[in-house]
Amino acid sequence: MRKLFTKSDLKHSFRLLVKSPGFTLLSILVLAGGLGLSVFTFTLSYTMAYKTIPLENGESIVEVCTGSRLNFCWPFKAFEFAQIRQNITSLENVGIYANQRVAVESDDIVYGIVATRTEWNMFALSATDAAQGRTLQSFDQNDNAEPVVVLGHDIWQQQFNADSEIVGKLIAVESIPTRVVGVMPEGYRFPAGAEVWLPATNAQISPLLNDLVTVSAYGRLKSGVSRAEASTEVDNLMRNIRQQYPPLRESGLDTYPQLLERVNTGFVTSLPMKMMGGIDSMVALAIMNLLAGLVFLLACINTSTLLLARTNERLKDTSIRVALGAPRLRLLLQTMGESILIAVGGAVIAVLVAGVSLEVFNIFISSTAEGQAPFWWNFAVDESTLIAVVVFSLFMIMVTSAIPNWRLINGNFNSVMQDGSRGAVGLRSGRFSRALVVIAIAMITLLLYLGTLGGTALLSFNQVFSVVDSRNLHSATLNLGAQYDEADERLQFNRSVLAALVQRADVSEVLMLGSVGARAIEQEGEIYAAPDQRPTVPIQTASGALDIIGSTLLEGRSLSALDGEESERVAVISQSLAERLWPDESAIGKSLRVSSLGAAEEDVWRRVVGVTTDTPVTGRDMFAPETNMVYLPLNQVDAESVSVLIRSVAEPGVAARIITQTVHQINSAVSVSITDWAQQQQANAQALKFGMSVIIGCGAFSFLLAITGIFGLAKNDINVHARDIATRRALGATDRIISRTFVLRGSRQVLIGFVLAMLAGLPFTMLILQAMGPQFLLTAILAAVLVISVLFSTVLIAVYHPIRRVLAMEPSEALKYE
Amino acid sequence: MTDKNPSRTAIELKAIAKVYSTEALETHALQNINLRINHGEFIAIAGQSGCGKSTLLSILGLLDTASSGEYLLDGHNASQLSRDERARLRNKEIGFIFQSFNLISDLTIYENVELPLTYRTDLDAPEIEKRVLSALEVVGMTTRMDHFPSQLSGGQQQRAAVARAIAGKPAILLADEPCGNLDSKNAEIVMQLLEKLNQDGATICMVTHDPTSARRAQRYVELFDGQIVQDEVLRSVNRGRNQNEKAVHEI
Ligand SMILES: Nc1ncnc2c1ncn2[C@@H]1O[C@H](COP(=O)(O)OP(=O)(O)O)[C@@H](O)[C@H]1O
Ligand SMILES: [Mg+2]
Repeated sequence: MRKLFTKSDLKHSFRLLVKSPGFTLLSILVLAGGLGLSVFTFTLSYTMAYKTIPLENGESIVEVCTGSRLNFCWPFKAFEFAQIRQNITSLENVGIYANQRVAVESDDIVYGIVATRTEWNMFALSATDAAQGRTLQSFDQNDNAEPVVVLGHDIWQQQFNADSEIVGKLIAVESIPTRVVGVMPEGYRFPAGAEVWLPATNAQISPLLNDLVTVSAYGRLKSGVSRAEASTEVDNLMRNIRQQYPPLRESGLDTYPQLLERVNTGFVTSLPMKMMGGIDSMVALAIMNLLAGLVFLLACINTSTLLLARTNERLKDTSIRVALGAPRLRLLLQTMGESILIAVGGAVIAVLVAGVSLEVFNIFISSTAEGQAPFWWNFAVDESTLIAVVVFSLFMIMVTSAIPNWRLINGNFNSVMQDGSRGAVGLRSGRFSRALVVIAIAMITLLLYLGTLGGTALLSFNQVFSVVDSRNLHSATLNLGAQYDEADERLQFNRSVLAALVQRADVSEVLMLGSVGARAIEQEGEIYAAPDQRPTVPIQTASGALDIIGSTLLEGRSLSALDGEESERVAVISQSLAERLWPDESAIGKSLRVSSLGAAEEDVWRRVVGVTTDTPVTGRDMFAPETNMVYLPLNQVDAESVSVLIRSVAEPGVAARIITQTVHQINSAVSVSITDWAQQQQANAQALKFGMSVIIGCGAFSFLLAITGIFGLAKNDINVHARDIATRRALGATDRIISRTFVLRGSRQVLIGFVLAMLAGLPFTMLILQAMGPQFLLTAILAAVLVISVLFSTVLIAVYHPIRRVLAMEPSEALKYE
Repeated sequence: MTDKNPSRTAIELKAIAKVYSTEALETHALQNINLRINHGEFIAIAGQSGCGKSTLLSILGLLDTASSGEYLLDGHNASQLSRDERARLRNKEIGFIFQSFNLISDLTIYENVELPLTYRTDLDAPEIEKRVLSALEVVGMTTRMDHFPSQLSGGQQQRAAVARAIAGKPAILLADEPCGNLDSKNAEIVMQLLEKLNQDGATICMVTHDPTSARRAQRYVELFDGQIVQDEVLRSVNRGRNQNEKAVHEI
């Protein structure tokens, strides 16, 4: 039997590649870049959403959720879950947990730390034992058990200086002396981002009241049970529970408690999927992968056009081989040898590049997320990545060799031999390669456009974030506890703290902010058909001007200490809200009403006295800044939790102590948890910077692709037509006419590609316009203009170079090219 | 050699030489070529392969420049012309017919014939259309004018190429082995076409290595090693014309 692909064929392919090192290098780099990007994004999203968590039987560990799979995984009302868990048959090792920031004291400094209150069986579920001491045990949950805590490795290292005697010591957690019973091994943060573990309370595990205490739940799929089966069971149980406990209020506000009262669906999901959130982030991931895939496809097309140019050069050689009796299949494999070698080279470099990038990403995550990232976020090239690389490479070989070999398979070799210009090859492949050019240009345009748009959007977020001057800024959340159960007492306490801080010489600015929550508001003169048609807006209380959180007064006046308990009820609103409620006039002097503020403040009209710029930092989500905001005087409205912000020249540790000491001088029982703004801001800024550099990096690469792609295509186009150009010149075309012909042809292709790309990019444009507001339209138009100018200049340059080379030849010489 | 009547002489070459220099060696493709082509002549340039025929034709057609010597077109020295002026002359005064047709594959036959006329500024659209149609008529390709070159046989392609060459009514037609890629039947059709064009007054300069075709011309120039070794008038312009007419009718 004849061999289809021999060693000498491979050698032949290798020789061809070595003979033109520039071409080989360019092809390999373009492919490696495209593939590397795809592998990087694939690994990222795969690890984030689909990979089995690195624990024993990780694939069977699930999160039990309420809500629908398309949205976020919601927690259960503790009271309801306590009933549900008794009836779950598809899961074992079921338990509850709740993450909560607690104040942990060490060396007189109180840190706000993420604590997971959980049941003892969580450690069994995650099959991990303590590195020192023990994990939580069932008796820790007893009513009169001693308060205990299990420390995470990072906290033990940083806050307790890796004290090897820590187990058995008492530390203050929420001001309660708590015994450290164990330290978990490094990297253990189950279920997600936990820094310390505390036993769950009775109110969480077996509440007597159906109140608003919420818990998350975990469990393990029993062997032979699928996630879908477990989901169905949880969903049914959730429906039953809802029938048993119908919502107290039928309609009304979409506040969190009310949504929890209404939800009647449930499901189970993997921990990573829960972490990813709802369909939005899955869509975002898909778009990211799609873009990377587009870059990859483009890289493949770029390389195949480069290969196509080479196949063209060798077309006559190939035809002679066919004429000499070489089997077509063998020839095909021979030509593919080149693609295979390039693909293998590209894949090796791509894996290296992706591996290094992922490692950089790991370092970045660990430096910014401060151990808050889920423990399975360890991004590395692993088997699944390698499988993806193999799949991608096969695809790459298919695309890069299928296109060039199109000619070989379909060509009429005999006519090629007799005369280059004759035969079916000419016209068909001409159309084919022109369609290819247009597709490539459309893809390049889309990439550049989306990149520019996305980059600008991100940049504007960045600007929003940098508004806050985080230098010397410190804040603390005050937890007043049970002793302040009267609103009056709370107000009094807040006022004392404020007065004490203002008096200090080492504090230059103070602001107290209280978080009330989202409330429905009514605007004066507006009639609402139903209560739920009133807009819901986050409400905060503030002690004064908001400059410290980056919001500047635009109109009217700021809130101040003069807005006392007995004074007129007033409000300051954010710019966006002012424009939304009173689009055509000044909001100053208008009135609004805020619902559910407590009996005394109900039905009170509040006069708007100031309009202030939007304050993104108070928003819940860094990529969706909350722009609608109502600020009410601290003295007039009671807030659930209050935080203090100060600007002080003191050292961070000392500044933290200023707040703690001031508060404790007034009442030593109040717990104070410090947030380091500079650090948090830095983390945010770093995240954005990283995001920006990734986008800029991808942008630069797609720009490189654009240039090499268009350049290669134009060059190929001109090379293919070198003979035509010589013919035209022989017929009397001047250099200008020739250049014009090719520039026009290139421009036409750019225009068609541009229009196609804009059509394809329309949904994304709409999406981003919706997110960024209509004023972003101008940016979108500018981006489009920028992209098309870049494309046109690229075409001009790309045409100029090869045309000059062809024109430098005497026509007689060029005509000899067969 | 003293006759400088511009109406009689189309092109005159004086002491033309062409040297190709590559790093390995210098090829003297042409040496001391003196040639005067008169209006109405049908010259065959013959010689072995590699003797410089194509080089000579390229220089005659302003596709290439000579290394030394003088080139006179209608009595004017064309050696020093700019690229654009040479392009304009190629367009207006010279018609090319190539061995491998060189039709542009993504243009139709009509567009191919029209192409050189679109480069001109002195012709309006109806005039261009008239010329294209009449050129296609002369070569008998009117029915195929909407085809693409790839849809035609070699003979048909070459006839289209002839139409393209004559559409601009050039002073001289240059053909490099016009039948080289054709079978004998199609070669005969093209030869007869050239003879007929010559009878109608066209000046033709044709390169061929085929002695029989060469003998059908009216003047025979033979090259050897880049030099003219024979330049013989086979028959007078008028006599040739009558004979050719007879030949056409005989077939
Ligand atoms: N571009 C070139 N570079 C070097 N040598 C050339 C070039 N073109 C032609 N020659 C040489 O010039 C001589 C004449 O070539 P040519 O005019 O093509 O011959 P032919 O009579 O077969 O048409 C040959 O020896 C050929 O090798
Ligand atoms: Mg020749």
